[in-house]
Amino acid sequence: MTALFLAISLLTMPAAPGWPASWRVVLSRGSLPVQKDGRLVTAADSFIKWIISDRCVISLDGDTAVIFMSGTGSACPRMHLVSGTIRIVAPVDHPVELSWDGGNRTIRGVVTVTRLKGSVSFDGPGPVEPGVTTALSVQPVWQLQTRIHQLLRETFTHSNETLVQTSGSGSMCLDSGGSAGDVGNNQTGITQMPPAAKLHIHVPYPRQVSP
Amino acid sequence: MKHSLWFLLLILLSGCLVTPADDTSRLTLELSFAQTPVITRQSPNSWYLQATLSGADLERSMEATVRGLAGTDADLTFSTQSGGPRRLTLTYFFYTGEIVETWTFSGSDFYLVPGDQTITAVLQRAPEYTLNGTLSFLDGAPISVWLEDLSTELSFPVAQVVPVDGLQGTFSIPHVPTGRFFRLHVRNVNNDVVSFDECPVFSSRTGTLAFAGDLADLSCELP
Repeated sequence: MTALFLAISLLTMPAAPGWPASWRVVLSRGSLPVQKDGRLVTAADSFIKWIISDRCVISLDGDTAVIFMSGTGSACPRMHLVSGTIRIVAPVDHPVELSWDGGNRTIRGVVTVTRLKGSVSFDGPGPVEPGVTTALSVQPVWQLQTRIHQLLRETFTHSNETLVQTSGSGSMCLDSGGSAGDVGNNQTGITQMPPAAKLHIHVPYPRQVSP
Repeated sequence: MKHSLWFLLLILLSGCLVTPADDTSRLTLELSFAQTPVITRQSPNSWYLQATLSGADLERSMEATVRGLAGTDADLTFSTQSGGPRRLTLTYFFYTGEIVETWTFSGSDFYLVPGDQTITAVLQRAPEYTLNGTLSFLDGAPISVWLEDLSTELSFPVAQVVPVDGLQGTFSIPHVPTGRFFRLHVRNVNNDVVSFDECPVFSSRTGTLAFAGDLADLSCELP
């Protein structure tokens, strides 16, 4: 019970400022990631795949910690890699600004980045998560769009998933049922709904004295 | 008892069950006119606003319209989800008492992020052209013609048909905004309304556009 309480407390921590509002879909396998001090940390035996704004895919390997931030001029987020391995798939016009302690790089295309013990390496195209073939990874980004939309459709149409509404400030309620749905690569789907928005338009009557 | 307290505590602390915090994005767009329209006569239905909102993260684009009386402001609210960039297009039709002026605004870099923000923008007068038409008829000159905006079903002011002879007449409709599709309606000599549905009026250029139609079979020609 204490462990469960601790897990839920971590999951409902307020997000870091600038937490993107438009994150769309998370597909994960293995132990659930936890949000800790603004970081997202995956367990050793897991991976997590984020599909963001239909445009970019970010996969986190096990034992990986990242900090997500709002992208500037890009639909994809900025990311700070604390440790571990991530794969980024980003189109040319919506790159991912990746940083780490001591450096940064603008990521376009398909790139795998590993930071272990302070050392950063780039492997170029390549899979991080299990079940994704190299052939898919080396496809141009625009070809991946079809795959992304397919994943989105599957995610929203399979009934054995738990679709959950985020609480305030971007913290997530994760599907802790543990049942693997038949989604994508047999992952359990978790959806983060963006917060509501209201756009109000005001046009004043062009008040003027008649000539 | 102890278990019940734990359960209650979990419910209260779980973000899944408590009411979400108010992190709604509220963006207010305050618009003004590049130049103030010259109002020649107050008209009851004097303005009509059409707005569309789209974005790659939205399942479908949204559209909203509102019309109003003279002297009233236009207020319109989209309820959507946070995110961006969003593209917003506005078309504001304003009836001055003589003509319909078309004002437009377009922006594609709106980000709806949690919190309140206000943006000011300026409506620009849409480029216009003049529709010059020739109508052929057998049973007498038609009474009038007018254009209907296909997207909003808004009717523009009527124009008179000037008989050239017993078989033809001409008309001219100025201040037609470019980039929109219109249907030409004709009130014939019998006071019936007929439409040239096969020839939607459209131009992307300023200047003049020629139209030729035959009321006998509603055949028509546009360049």
